[in-house]
Amino acid sequence: MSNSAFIPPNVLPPLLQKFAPLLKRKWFRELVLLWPTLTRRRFSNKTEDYGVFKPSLVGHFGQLAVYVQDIARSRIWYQKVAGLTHSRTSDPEPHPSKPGWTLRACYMSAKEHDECLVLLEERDPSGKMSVPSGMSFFHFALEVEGNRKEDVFAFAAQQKRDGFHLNYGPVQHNSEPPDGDGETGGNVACYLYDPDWHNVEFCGAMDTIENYRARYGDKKGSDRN
Amino acid sequence: MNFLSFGHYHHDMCLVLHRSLQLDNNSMLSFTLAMRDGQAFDTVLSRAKSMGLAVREGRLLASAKPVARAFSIQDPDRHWIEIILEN
Repeated sequence: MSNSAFIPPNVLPPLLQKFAPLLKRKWFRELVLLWPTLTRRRFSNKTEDYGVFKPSLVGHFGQLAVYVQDIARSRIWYQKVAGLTHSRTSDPEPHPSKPGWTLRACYMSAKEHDECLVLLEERDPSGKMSVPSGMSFFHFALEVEGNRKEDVFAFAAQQKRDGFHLNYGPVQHNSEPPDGDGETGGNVACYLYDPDWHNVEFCGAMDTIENYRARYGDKKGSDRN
Repeated sequence: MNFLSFGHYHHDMCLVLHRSLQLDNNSMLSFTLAMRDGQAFDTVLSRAKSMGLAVREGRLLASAKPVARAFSIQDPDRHWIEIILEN
C-alpha cells in the first residue's frame, strides 16, 4: 500500500530506522546523548516522578480525528493493520473552524471502543483536497488485543509477514534488557506509518501507576537506568 | 517529554517538546476526552471559562454521535480538544 508522496519532516529517515534497534543497547543510548549532554542541550528523555493524588477528571480518550488524503485508502489500512471496522462515513459537512471549508468523516471502531478514530478528508472552498502535514502530533497509540508483551510481539511479527513496514520496534519502553530502549512507561510497542505518515503505535502491557512505583520506588530520571 | 495519566496507566498522554520542528494543526482536527461524570464535566467547563478560553458548545463534528453534553476548547498550540459526557 503506497504512502502519500509528501513526507513530513518528522518522519524517521530509512537510515535512522535501521539504527533504531540499537537503542536497546545502553552504550548506544549514551552515545546518542553524548553530544547534547556535552553541549548542555540534552533534554531528559525520562519524566520525573509524579504523583496522582486524586482521581482524574478524565475517564478515557473518546475519539481522535485525523486528516487523510483518501478515506478509502486509509480505511483499508486501518482495517488490515489495526483490525478496526468501518462504522459509517458521513456526507460532506462544514468544517467547524474554517469557514467555507468542508469535511467528510469516516468513523472507525475497535472491538471495545466504538468510533474511536475518525478519518477526515478536508477540502478548501474551491474543492481542493488538503494534504495532511503530519506535524500536529508525534504519534497516537492503539492497544493491542490481549494487552500482553507477547501479544505485541506477535502483532509485530504478523505485520511483517503481511508486508507492512515497522518504523520502530518492537521494543519495551523501559531500561530493562533485552528489549528496553531507555524510554519510560513500560509499554511494549511497535510503530507503523499509516498512508498519510501518521505514526501509529501499537502497544500493550503498559505499567500502571502502582507497578511503576513498585519497579522504581523513589528513583528519578536517569537513576532508573 | 511530560507524561500525563488519567489515573490507572503510567500515561495516557505525553506532551513532547521538540527544539526545531514546527508544529501545526493540519494533520489532526481534534481529540476527545470523556469525563468521568457530570461533576467532572462541570469542573472542566468552569475551569475553561475562568481561564478565559473560548468555549464552543456541542460536538465539534456535526456528524459525530450525540452525547449527553459536549464542548470544545483549544490548547496553547491551538489543538482542538473536545470534552464530552457520554450518555
